[in-house]
Amino acid sequence: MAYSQRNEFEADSQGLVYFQHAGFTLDGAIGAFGVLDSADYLMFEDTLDLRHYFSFDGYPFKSYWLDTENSALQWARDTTLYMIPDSLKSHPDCDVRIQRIGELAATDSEQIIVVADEAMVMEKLKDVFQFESLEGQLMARDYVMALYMRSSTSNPLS
Amino acid sequence: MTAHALIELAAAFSRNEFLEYVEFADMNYPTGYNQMLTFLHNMNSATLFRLATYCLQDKLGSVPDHAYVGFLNTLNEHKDVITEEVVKLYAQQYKDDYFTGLLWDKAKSPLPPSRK
Repeated sequence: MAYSQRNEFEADSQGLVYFQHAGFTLDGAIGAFGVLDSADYLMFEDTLDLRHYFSFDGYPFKSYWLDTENSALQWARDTTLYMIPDSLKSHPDCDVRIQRIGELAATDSEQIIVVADEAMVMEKLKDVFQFESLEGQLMARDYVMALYMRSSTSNPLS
Repeated sequence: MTAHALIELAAAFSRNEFLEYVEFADMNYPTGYNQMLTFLHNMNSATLFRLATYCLQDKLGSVPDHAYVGFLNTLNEHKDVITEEVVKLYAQQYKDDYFTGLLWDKAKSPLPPSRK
């Protein structure tokens, strides 16, 4: 694994050279690693705010709707079970890769292309993909997953 | 989409197929997903239909004459018992082939095959 991670650092440094020669900014490279890093986190891991989501003026949320008596199992989850030690990863952590490319980057690199509103475009794409994904769940008749995904996002479209 | 999912689950409850769509909580699932499963297991068809009705009013009440909203209202009003007359009425009002087709499917097969 250490050998694989060394190769990844080499690939990053080569990629950075190509990246800069193509005229992209260092910020873009770091941003790309940031996006990769965010993919390591489960999108819908957080506790849902069902009290807020399923409460209406004429029909307020009932506290017993979240009673666990009807659940077959008590489902307290040990999240440490899902952490992978760094030594077992084929790729180094993204924050380490960001630090390395920051050190490698030439200070006098030409900065030709700056993509305006990159973050806004990404947010819009995220909304569209989430909407498409929700629609797919409904078509597949996986209604629980559709509700779960919908109540985990802030997409006004859905 | 929330209302749509609630209506379909309420209809599944009415057909005694709820457990084919809603599994039980499991310690291997994410916390939020288990919350959703627990929430749904504390429902019955009446509460699910009622939630769907309020959801439709709250989130889509101000949307005028949209084919999807019309489709959801039709499902909610007829509690998933869709007849040919209901479909024809919808088709006449909204002239939307896609949702009319979905309603025709429900009219032809009021008890759809199990998802599993």
